[in-house]
Amino acid sequence: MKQVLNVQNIEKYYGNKDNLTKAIDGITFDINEGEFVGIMGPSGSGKTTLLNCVSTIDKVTSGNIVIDDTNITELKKQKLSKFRREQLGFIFQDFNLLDTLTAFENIALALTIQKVNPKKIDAQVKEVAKKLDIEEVLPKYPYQMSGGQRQRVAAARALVHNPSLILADEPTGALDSKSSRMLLESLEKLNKEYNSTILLVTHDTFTASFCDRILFIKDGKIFNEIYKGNQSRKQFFDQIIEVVTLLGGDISNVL
Amino acid sequence: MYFKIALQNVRKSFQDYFIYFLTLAFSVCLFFAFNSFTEQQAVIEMTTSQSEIMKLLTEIMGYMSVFVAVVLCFLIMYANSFLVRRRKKEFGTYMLLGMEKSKMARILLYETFIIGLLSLVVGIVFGIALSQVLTIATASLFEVQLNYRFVFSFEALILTILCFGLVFFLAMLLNIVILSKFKLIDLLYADRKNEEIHIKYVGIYVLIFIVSLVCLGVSYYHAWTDPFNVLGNKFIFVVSFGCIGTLLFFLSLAGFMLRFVSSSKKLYYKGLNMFVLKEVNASIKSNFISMSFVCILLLLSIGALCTGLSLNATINKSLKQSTPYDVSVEYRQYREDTPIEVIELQLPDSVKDDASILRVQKKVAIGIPTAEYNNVFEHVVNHYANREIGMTEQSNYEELSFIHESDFNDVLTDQGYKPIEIKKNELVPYTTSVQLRDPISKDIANKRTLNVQGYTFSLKEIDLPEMTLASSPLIDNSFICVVDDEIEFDDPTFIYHAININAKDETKHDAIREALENEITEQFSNKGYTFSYFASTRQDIYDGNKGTSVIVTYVGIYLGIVFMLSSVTLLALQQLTKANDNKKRYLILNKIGADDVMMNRALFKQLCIYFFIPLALALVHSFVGIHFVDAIIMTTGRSSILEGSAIACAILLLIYGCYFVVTYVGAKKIIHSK
Repeated sequence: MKQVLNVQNIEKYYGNKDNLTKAIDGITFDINEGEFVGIMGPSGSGKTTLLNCVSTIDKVTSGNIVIDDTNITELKKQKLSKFRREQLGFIFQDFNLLDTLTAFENIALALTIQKVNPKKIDAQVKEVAKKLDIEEVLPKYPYQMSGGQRQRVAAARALVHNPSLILADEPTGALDSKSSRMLLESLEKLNKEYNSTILLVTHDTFTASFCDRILFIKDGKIFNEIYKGNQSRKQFFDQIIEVVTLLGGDISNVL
Repeated sequence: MYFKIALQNVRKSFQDYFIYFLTLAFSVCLFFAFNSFTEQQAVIEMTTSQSEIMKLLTEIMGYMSVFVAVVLCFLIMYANSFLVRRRKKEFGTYMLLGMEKSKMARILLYETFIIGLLSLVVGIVFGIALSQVLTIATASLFEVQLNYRFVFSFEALILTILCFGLVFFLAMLLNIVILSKFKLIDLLYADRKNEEIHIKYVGIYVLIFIVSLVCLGVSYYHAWTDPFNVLGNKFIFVVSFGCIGTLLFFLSLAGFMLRFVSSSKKLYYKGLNMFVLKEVNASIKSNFISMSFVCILLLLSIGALCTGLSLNATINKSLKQSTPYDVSVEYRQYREDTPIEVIELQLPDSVKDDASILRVQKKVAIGIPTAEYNNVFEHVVNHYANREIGMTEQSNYEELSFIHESDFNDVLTDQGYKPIEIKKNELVPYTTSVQLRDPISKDIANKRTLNVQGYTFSLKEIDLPEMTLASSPLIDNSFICVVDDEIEFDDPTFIYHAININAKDETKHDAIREALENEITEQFSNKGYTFSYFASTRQDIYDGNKGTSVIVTYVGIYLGIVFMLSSVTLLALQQLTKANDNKKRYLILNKIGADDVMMNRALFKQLCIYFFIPLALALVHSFVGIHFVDAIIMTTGRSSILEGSAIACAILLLIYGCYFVVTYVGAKKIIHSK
């Protein structure tokens, strides 16, 4: 199976001489095509930093990140922007939709930025809208949609240009339980039917239970990894809870 | 301690304040310079009449300054409120920490004071520089010698400080009012934008747009084809149609533009165009009133500048023509209840000795029955009827002026032209007004005869040069009839005499004029209201005209620049506020993959459209407006104002361009800041 993401021993420091913070302390993992991976950890564990580094928004202090055979740690700013545009798709916690554009236009924006042929844009947008079941809301403005619909529009925007890797940062953070479920089921569908590779960051167990594989982060290190395998979602949920419970107890029990 | 906070705030956000500060400094500079005219008199060698003009100018500037101060006041208060609103989050933090509103007001007070003081000082320094320039300009406008010395007007300084002090005081009051209205929750969550309602029926905008174009079209048509009527009673009609048209134009522009561009997929789906268009749409929609206002201000500004800059050149051209003699003394006697006792002025010997040419010119006005007049001068009557200017009440008699052939020929030969010959039964109508030439030609072609006091005249056409019959400060827009010397009329309604003199010695002009004036006051001392006179040397007329020209030029430039500054600052501030609100959006664009170059280009397009649309419309308005002013000025025989318009446009583009660049740089900085 093709390896989409390969993170090799990355470290990230913040601050200056007087005040140094180590946000990521030697993390190594990889993700294959078609996997649905989740990164879990408490606040301050470095999971958002990790996502930012993988998504090229931030730069690592040392180590390598290879996405689809391209070592992004070696790319310059312009090429990085280009790479981000073409190969990656983002779903943010606060949707980040432009309130002056309709849903259709928000999704289309991802394509126009890449200078896709205007004639093809209509078809592509409609296709991805179908995948995420948001065809009826396409002509509406964000303020006219529910939170769940907005997040799915954001997801559509992330996907429309067929990126190698989809990155989601707390996608259900601002949603109620019903909307969360709908979004996660959509993501699941994308993963199963269209073989999309998804990397999700969350602190919420329910969200995490939809993934195939979870990496647990604490204090900038991966301290555990579990696979769903053949378990049902409920069983996987329980297994995750167990690991999380351990986080509250003695650290030496975990490592 | 609060002062320290204020000082730090100003230093930190100096770049944000820059446009505000720049406008303030510039306003102070202009204000100070244009109010220092009194001092200029000391430096420039002026004649008495010129000094009179300067006094008048200073007075007019005083009144203008009040008006300008009011405009600037509004501008500064608007700018102030914009800046305060931008710092909502900061004030929210102060409030959260428990600071009372009065203390925050105090910080604001100090800040306004610091900025005010700074801009006042800088403005005055530049103002002093500018007033030196103005002194030199005045000298050149009056065409006199300049003994250059440093000019500084203490009065202007006091006036400026007082004025702007008052304005800042008002601005601080306004700030306090704004602050008192702030609610803590609004301040902290100022970033959460309220969703705007978008009107769905875009089709309506197309309709409104068409209506606006119709309105403007009607307005233009009338101003272009019928300027004199517009000056009269159609004025309000044209102006209001123009204003309504402009308002509707901006109201519908957003929707119309959007509709138009979104229908072309190739353009709409290119890069960040969708985003830019929607942003511009939102901007224009929420600001259409101020944009119309800006457009009209720009029109006024261009008009003022054009008129100011071009009148000088225009006046110069016609001066030579309107002063055929070195000195002319004119006096008129009017008929009251009894026929006029004609007085022939006794000319003193000194005058006769000093004159190389001495002419006595006589004109009479005879009452002609209206029916007869209207019949013979049908087209002239129609011409005035259409214009509706200077229409007196309908009476039984119309006045017609006559001059003898020899008096007329005197002027012709003195100017180097060939004299004319008229038979006893012929009459040559002569006018210097360009507008009347055509109607008069038509009347002559009608070949009707005029019956006056037993005489019968047929109208004769002779090709005559353009000239005035005496050096007069008045402009005569009517026509006069040249008749044979033997024709004598009874009981005229008024009699006009002109003593036209060319002096042997240039320096004697004033002496001759004074001598004649003394004679007149002596001989006519008991005539009261049935008599009036003018005594002018060529220099007097030059000075008078120049005076008008100087005043109009300065007032035009002053008002023009102030209006321009106000309008462009308004636009700049609005866009900077928008940029601040847009920071979030540009961040999103960055996250979804748009690089810096793309975003800068989008910002540039956005600003371009917003800045240059009101300018474009204002230029179209001005085109019609200038043509209108030109047509009016033409009546006084003066030429077109093309040159002045060109300079005005150049200044406009320069100032506009500068503000645009500063706004772009500022906005770019805002949206790229983390």
